[in-house]
Amino acid sequence: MVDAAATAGYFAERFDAPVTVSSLHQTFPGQSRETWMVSAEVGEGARRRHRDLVLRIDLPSGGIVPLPLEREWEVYRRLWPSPVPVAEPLWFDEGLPFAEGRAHMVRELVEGATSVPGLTEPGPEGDELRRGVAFEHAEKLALVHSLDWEEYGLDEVLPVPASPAEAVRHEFETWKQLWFEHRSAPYPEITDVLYWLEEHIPTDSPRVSLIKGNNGIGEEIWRDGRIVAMSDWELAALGDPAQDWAFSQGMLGLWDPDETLAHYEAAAGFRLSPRTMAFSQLFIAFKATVCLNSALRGFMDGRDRRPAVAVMGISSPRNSAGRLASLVGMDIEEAAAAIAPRRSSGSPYIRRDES
Amino acid sequence: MRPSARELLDSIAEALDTRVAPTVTDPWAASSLRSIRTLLSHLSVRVEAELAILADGNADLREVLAVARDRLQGCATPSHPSMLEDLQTALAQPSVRESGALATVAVLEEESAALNEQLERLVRVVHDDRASLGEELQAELLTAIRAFIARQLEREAPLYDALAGPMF
Repeated sequence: MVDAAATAGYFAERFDAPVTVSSLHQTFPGQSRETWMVSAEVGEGARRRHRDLVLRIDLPSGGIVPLPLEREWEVYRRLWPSPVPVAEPLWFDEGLPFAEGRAHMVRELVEGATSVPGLTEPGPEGDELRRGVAFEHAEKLALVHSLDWEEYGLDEVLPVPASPAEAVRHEFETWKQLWFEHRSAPYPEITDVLYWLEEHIPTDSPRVSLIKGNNGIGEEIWRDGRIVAMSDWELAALGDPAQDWAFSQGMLGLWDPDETLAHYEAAAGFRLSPRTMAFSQLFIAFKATVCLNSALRGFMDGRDRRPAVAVMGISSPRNSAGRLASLVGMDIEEAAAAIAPRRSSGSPYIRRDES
Repeated sequence: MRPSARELLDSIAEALDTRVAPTVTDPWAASSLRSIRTLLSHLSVRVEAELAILADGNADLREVLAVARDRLQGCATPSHPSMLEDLQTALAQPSVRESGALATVAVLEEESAALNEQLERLVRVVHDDRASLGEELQAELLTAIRAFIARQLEREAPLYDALAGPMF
């Protein structure tokens, strides 16, 4: 159990100094892993110092994302000296008496917020804010996607596609394997979907990039209209940058998507393939299902009986990937339009070659 | 028995909505309540519909697999050489309906899992063994499989529509 006394005792060992925890709370709505905000006084006398820290812990059943927390830790560790803004990672450990031996990592808290006030306000001021947020996000994604990942050793912790042409296939095979390892039951319709998607895997990736995984509002730390830290790297991979736009959780709906992507491409220095964008929208629906359904095993064997795990696990193969089953056989871009994010006008946004 | 399970579940949901939810301020407690509410909506449909959905789905799937078994006679399935034999074995088991056993959700669920395993194997064979099956048979089997999937999605839709509320 994570409580103030246990955390203070454990942190005192790690800091080799007395620790008093003044505040400890679990952030909401993080479901994939537990995230705890810790305010603590570390040290004594003249060396006493206030620390605001973030403690991220595996769920008792592991995590909703079927990838080890240690991998996310290693991504943080390598990004910390890079131009990509992340919180300073402090340590990773597992198998200790603390938190029942669950894997966990600790990082500094970066001052800011995961939400941007006023983002849904109507009118010119709201528009200006939405444009600013979309462009800032585009610039930060461009920074991530144009990073020299070899220079920062990310190829030591993330599997590397053989070439840009293999970038999408590599990620597709990875997640297909995770699905068959972790799914709660056979889903023949999803197996059929996978064959269909596989026939349409694009090979025109502009480069192999570090991709963040889930991103967008709610994932990054904002302060004064800027992203000051990019958080949640549990789905980080080396692959095609279009995937991040497909998983940007409404970011393309904030402002004119063509303008946002043009801004991104100007910052990144390369263009995204419209076909890969379309494919990625379908692939992300599958990837989300892998995560949400895989946790259901923990529910069924009693390791994680949270009702939310049941809702996500039962519904995702039908309400997310199941929608794909109804699209099988369609042209990829038409299929993507059926599940694409909506423009403010309500029409689906699908990137076209002429954009 | 009255009140029915559905009536009881609906009354619990109503009490949570009107009496409990307005008083809950802790975000994690409120979140659990939302998940519980969504599960109750699902259960309210499931408790009355699941048996029929399973029975109809299993009967439909048996027919699809039986046609596939007949059409695969004499065909090589190199990706899964025992496909035909597996189908014959699975279909030789009497259905719950035929066996005269009491059709419970648990028994039908077990039958459904076994049939779905066969369907999944068949999906793989149809895709992987296109060359040995020939274009015509491959297309015929795939059309039959996808038509079944569409019927099954429609049959099960009420269960999943009821899960479309907040996840957490």
